Amino acid sequence: MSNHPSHLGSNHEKSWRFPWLRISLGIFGTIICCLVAASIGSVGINPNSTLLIALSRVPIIDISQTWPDSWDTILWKLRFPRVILALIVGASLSVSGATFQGLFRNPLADPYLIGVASGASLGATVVFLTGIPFSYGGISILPIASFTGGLIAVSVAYGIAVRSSSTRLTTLILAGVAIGSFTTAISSLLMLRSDPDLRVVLSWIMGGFIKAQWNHSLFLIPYLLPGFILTFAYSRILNTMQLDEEYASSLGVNIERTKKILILVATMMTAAVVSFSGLIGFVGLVAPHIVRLIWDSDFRTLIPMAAIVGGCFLVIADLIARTILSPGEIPVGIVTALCGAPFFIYLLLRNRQDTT
Amino acid sequence: MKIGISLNNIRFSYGKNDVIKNVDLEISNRDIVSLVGPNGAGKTTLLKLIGGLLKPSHGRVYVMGKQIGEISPRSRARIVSTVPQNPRVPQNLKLSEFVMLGRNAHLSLTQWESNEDIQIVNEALEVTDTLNLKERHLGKISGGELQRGMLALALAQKSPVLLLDEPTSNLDLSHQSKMMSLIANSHESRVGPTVIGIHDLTLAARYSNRMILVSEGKVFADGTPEEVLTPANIKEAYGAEVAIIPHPEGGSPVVLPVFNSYPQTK
Repeated sequence: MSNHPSHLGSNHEKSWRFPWLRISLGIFGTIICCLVAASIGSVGINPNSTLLIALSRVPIIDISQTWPDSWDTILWKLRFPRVILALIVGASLSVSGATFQGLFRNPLADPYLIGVASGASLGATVVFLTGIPFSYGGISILPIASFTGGLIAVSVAYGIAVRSSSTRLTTLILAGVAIGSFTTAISSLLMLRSDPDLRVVLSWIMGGFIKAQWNHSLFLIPYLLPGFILTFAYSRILNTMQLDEEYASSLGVNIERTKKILILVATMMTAAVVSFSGLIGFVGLVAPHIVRLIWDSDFRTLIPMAAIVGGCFLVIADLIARTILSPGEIPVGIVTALCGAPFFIYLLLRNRQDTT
Repeated sequence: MKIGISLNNIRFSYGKNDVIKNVDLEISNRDIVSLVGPNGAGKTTLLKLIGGLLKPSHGRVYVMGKQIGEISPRSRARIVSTVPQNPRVPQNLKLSEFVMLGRNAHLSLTQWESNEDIQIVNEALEVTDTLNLKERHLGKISGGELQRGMLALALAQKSPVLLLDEPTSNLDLSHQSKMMSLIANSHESRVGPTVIGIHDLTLAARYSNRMILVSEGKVFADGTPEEVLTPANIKEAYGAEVAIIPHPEGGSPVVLPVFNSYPQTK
């Protein structure tokens, strides 16, 4: 029934099915990306060996060792945990970015916009500087503190928006920006008033995966997996919410409930990853837009593919961060900002063209 | 005659402004109602109250037996579909995707659009004469095509009651009557009433069997178009002098401005 004129250039007919093909290809690409990233470093390992070393720890597969023990140690102790953590963090930031962009109908929204990240970083700074132990009875305090900080920041912004009643979305974004600056100021103040050795907290704020360990990824999964699943489940409703709120409501969307749930979930994902990786900007902004440029803006493609693209983006950014000035490292946030900021400006200019 | 919509002593105010003052209405399931009145009379507010998008400050609105402002958005969307006036729609959405959003109220959180939903969307596109536009983006279609697409979305919603706010504004002459006859056709396939907020009195008279003239938040006149459209009513509600003549085809009232009622500039 595709009798539409071909000059529209408007690709294939819309499919309403689960995007298996895209996701499978994406996962395949992600695996290659991770293997290549893990192979590169001060000790070069060829990607074939990396694959074999990775598979050698899979229980059922039996591979005889043809590589030096040191490679196994380098990969399993240092590079794999680091690559996987970068992947998870990138995926989470991108999914929360896509969610915030959808909720606020604003293509420039990202997890940092409504104060989530700076609130979370204030929570973490308090833990760093007050000497509260990082973990207590096996439970890590840092993510809980940063989650609390992020949630408080968002709740305050949301509370202000609800009170001002009219044009809530704009108010929410503006309130978020104000709360963000405010919490950042408090973090800076705390740092100035405390112990002179700020390197720990500063390097944390710059963001990075230098100290990545397996248990970081393990810790994050219970926060992130439910978040991914819930956001993906809400993707049709996010599509509906791209209409204005009253229209979406007339189509059966419970606007207030959806906003509360998705803000909570996206905040949870952002705060959890911020607690291990520090502030890494632009990933959450850039990845969803790359997906929109390559595929389409249907949230059922956008959410899973943003996770894949964002994950790979951060794996590559981290690879650049640790190899470009080898043997030294630069914070991964510098790499993402160097790629992300020009992209942001490109979006601003393109948006302008669209509206005129 | 079953009553599809009933408003009991409805009041509504934005802040201290009373927009709707003590409105009582009963609309039967077979009625195509045109809601007319001057700008700011409260047409849009009344439609939103019936659609459950606003809650009355006083009184109750029942639609198909349910108190519409008090039920969940999902149940509400299965009872009433609304075609809003100039909504913001994403430019990069395909028309077929847009119309599919009408199925939202029938799908649960984890459910995906089935072949049946696709079928319903295609039928809605077909009856609104937009099937050939289904792969086009909303930013690339005309105002009249978008209006028909919005009607298709509302029809895909498969709810008994249809409310439309200015469905013919911004349309040229041929698209206006096309839109109105599509609405009238769709009325036959639904069990509930149709209410159309509309400016054009002649068009309204041609396509509706009942006309409600609102003025300053009250029902000023209510009846058949012939009963409501009198020079006296229009003078009172709009402050305009008009002449009314029967349409050469079918005899529905045609409203004509009286030219010498305004001072002429030479």
